[in-house]
Amino acid sequence: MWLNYKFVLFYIAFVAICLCSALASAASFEYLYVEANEGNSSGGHSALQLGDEIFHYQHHDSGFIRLLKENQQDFHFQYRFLQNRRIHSSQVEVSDETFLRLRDHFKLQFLAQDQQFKQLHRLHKDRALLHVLLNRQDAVVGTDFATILRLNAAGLFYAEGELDRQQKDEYIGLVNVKPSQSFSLLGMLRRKIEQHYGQDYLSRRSEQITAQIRSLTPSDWPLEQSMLAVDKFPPAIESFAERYTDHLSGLVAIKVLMEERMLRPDAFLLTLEAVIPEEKEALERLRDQLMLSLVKSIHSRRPDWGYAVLVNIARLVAIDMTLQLDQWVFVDDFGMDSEWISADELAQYAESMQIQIDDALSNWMQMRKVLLSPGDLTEANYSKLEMSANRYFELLKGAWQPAIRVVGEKALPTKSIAVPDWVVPELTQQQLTLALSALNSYEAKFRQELAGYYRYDLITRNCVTELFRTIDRALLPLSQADVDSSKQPKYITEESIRRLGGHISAGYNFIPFVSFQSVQAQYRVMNNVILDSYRDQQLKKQLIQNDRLTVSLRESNTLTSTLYSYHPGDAFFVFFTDGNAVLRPIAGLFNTAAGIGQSVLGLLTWPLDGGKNFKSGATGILMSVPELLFFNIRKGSYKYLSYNQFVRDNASKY
Amino acid sequence: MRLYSSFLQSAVLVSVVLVIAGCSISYSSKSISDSTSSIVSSPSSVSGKSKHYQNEVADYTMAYVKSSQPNANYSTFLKGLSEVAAKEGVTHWEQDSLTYIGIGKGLKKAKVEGIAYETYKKNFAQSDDTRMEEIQIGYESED
Repeated sequence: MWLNYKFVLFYIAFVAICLCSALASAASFEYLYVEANEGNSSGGHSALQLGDEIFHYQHHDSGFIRLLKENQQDFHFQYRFLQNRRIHSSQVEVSDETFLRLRDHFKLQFLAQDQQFKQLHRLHKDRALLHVLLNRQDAVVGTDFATILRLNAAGLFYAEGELDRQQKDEYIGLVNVKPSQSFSLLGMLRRKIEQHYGQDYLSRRSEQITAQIRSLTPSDWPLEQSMLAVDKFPPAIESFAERYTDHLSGLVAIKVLMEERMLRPDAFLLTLEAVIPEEKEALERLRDQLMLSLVKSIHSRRPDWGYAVLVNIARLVAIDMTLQLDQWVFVDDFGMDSEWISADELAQYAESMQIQIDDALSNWMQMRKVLLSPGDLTEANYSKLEMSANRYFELLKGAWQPAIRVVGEKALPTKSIAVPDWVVPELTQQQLTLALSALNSYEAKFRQELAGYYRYDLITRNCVTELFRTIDRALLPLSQADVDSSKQPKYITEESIRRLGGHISAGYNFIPFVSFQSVQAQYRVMNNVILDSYRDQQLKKQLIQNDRLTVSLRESNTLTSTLYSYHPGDAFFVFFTDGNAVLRPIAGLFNTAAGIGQSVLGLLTWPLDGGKNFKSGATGILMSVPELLFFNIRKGSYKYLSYNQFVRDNASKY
Repeated sequence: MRLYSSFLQSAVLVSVVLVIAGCSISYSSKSISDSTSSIVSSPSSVSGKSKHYQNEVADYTMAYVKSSQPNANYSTFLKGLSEVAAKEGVTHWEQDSLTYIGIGKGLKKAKVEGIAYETYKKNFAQSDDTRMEEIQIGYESED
């Protein structure tokens, strides 16, 4: 009996020890290797998945390498479906503490870099404003001031240039405007504001803003020895141009209220879709909520209150129109940078576009239901409803319009106009000249430091090297962050071995598939999974359902394939070479010939297409050459696929 | 033969460059998922959506605080907060308690405490008692 008791105790202790070990290493992250394909990241790509977010680096046109953070579904849809690439996922075992450390550091670096590049953009806007104030527009040759400084959401109420055509004193006439007698919606809102803050509140606020604009001074751009670090926000400097446009947005918002201005015809979408009684009730509650919020927002001290008020006035009007007409009305939320598709292209992709329409309808109906759920009548959900409606009804327009916007909806409407020339900061030429000089010095140093940290290099600073460098920085013990930098590599290596199972040097791992092999060899990899590309998935389905030989032969080439249709985004090719490696050089010969053929044709069509065909053919040859040496890069891509279908098919993974 | 040899050398060179060029060609392109993913994939529960927004605010607050001093100019912080809220389709973030709970979480994540914490709390809440309480709730709820 005593022996049994001892055995039970030993067994309990053994189980407890095993459990503790498991808990200490309860987390994991995924190292993702994305296979090569034509176009973006042609040699392959690497990424790190931490929880449901994926971090990866990309080379931007600016010449810098940028850290991106994406929702895992978006990443997979983009790379596995649209770009038709397989993803190799290695699950690396780590402790909870290591996981949190990696995740927090990647997030911090992403946010810090994002703010640094936003500041660069703000410097550009500040420069544009200073030049205009100095009346030296010729100094910004090739740059249109009107495209740089914009008032977001003002375009929902005023046409481009409309505010400029008004006399400058017209808006100041607000000072003597009589209290509103109108019973229009905006008249009611204006009365509520006046009841809350005083009869002449809007006029006083308008005067105050005008005075603030006139007394605006350029930002202070201090030159310091070192401005930037990869994991810190840039110096907190309020942009001169943004202060100016924020104030002007406020003036426009007040002007809209005072004039009880309606939405422009191109600023809203009138559907023929009826509103059901339950939806009407929900919208009435939402309208009342918006009115209350607007009364508070007009008095806000946040810098961008003007934009917020403009958006919400626009939405208030749209909701009110919906209630009056019993048909859904929405503010147009497509951005100025939306992607358009012509009627010809619509016809070419008729089947794919019908799937897009079906998806959009499904999303629009889903969001209508969400609005009726208790507790879900929120601003965020209304934004999603607005986006889904914009998408669906825009796609429907393809049946009768010469072109439609296929992508570009925003979570908040931003239709903008150029800054009107009402009132400007009252600065002397000398002040402006000195400010411009200070800005030039600051920007030059800023760009130099940015380049030092983020200038792209094919071998020494690319999407793979930066991933491992960021991992190294995340693991550097806090106690060693200020230690002599020559000793840091040793600490990093030790920490990496302890936490991840090994250390991977960024310097020697700059090729995506080589780095993937290193991860297998060095890190504590628990599990490897190959996630199929879109074509892989569809091919597997067909092979199960039909005769294997027939399917293999039919799907081996682009001429008979039912799973892929050539589109101008890809270079023309004949055979898929990501399957049978033995026959790859033979297939590559045909593909190379196809590329040569397209290039020759491209020479003939150059006057008509600006060299597009020739360039595509040349790319085709480039992609086919490795196939002669048994390498596969190209796999074909897809322009339009169903995102909803992707989510349904891959639901178990997310 | 010489021609074939040159061709082979070129082929090898092209292949090597393409293979190395892991992310050398990149462009910003819009995708259908940009506009539909928030609708199709978002958590169906209110708590799921609000948690995502809180986390985004918390991350942004943490990053900001790690780069600044307690008495720094807050206009840049407020602008950044507007951008975070805008991605979620929210303009009235300053009237939303979730914003302040997220700020509180962010302060805890940044390991801010004592006088520095009280200063940030007061400044971020613009001395509003209700907002300060909400920040405190977020701070205490974070591990």
